[in-house]
Amino acid sequence: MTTNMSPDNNDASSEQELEAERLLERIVDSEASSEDRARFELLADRESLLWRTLALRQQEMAVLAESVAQRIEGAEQIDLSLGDERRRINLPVTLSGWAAVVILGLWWGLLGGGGGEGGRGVDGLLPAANSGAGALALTAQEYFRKYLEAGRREGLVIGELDPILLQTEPMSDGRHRIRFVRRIEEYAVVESPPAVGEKTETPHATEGRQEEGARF
Amino acid sequence: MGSRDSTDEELITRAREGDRAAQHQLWRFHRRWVAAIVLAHRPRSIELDDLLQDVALKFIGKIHTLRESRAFRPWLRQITLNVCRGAGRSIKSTLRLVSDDRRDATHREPGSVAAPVPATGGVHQQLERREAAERLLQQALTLPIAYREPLLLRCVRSMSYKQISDVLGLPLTTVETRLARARRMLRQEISAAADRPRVESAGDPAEPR
Repeated sequence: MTTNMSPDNNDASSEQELEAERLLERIVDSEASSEDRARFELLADRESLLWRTLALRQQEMAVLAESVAQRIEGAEQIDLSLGDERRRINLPVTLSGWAAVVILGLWWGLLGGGGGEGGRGVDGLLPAANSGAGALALTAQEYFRKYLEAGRREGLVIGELDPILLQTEPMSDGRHRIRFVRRIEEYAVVESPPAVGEKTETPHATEGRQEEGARF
Repeated sequence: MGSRDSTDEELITRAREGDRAAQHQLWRFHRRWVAAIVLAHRPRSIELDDLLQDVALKFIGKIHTLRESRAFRPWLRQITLNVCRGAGRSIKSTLRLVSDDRRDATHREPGSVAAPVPATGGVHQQLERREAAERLLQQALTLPIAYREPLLLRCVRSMSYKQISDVLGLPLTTVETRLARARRMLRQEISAAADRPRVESAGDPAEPR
């Protein structure tokens, strides 16, 4: 840095800026030696703006580090012994939306369209959550709600649109069985966009990982 | 660093020999920087935690194949990269979901619903700060990988240049240069973004969105 004997003042100034820059980076990264610090103080005595720059750089790095820490804080939960359990717990929230729709449609159809007894089990189908069959045995309604919640959290699901009624059918007990479509508004990114309103393939985020037994 | 390195050395040796406790402890020591590597390399549509679990499983399944203890960090990084690349290949190329881009509350798509924001000043400031931090991270994630990776590693409990150079298999001076360049690029990008007009300036900023 100091070996450049060029008489050109601009060059000298530029060299000094580069040096100050390098020292700033080292101080921000806690990698500066005592010589580096002494040299920086010398430069900062001549150019007091360097102190302010240092403070801003340190703040900038602290903010970024905090943000990264928040993003990877889940890493603390990933233990070697936890892998399988976490996969199972993740399963409900990774169900595809359309799978959830199909399950829910079936569920509602068999219940005669009633939604007031959300936790009720159906013979031959999924047991109710509180049936003692295991904490992971959720109802279709619960799977669906979890899907929506997880999707919203991830920014993928916008919300549920009004259902469209397709058919009503009177039952012998006076109730009615209805057939309807539930609609979920979601985001997806595609390579080549279909026309708006056109039929499109349902996206599967992790298709191809099915061999691991925990996806869709 | 010296004592930590010798601890690692012992743990690695024991882990390679199949000592489960050593494997667990080794993973705990290193999982945060592994998470940073995943964050730098993962396909956007796959959850960081899911990939990290895959790395953990590969780690335990392959630790016996590690030949030299001092190659542990590059070895673990390579496993992490393989998991990320494998996940990237497995995604259907024609259609994929978005995840992270949508997490940034400041970049909501039209029609999405933001969580209600309490109108108190302190909380609002905190939210703004968090949003700014998130924006900074999003910008960092758009840097070229050669710069993004050391920068994210540097953010993990202040990894030293030496540790980063061990993980990346790069000379110390290269790590230092890349970090400096990464931050310079980040500052330029932030400055350019600040100069761009904001689309969402209408309305009361304290109003829940």
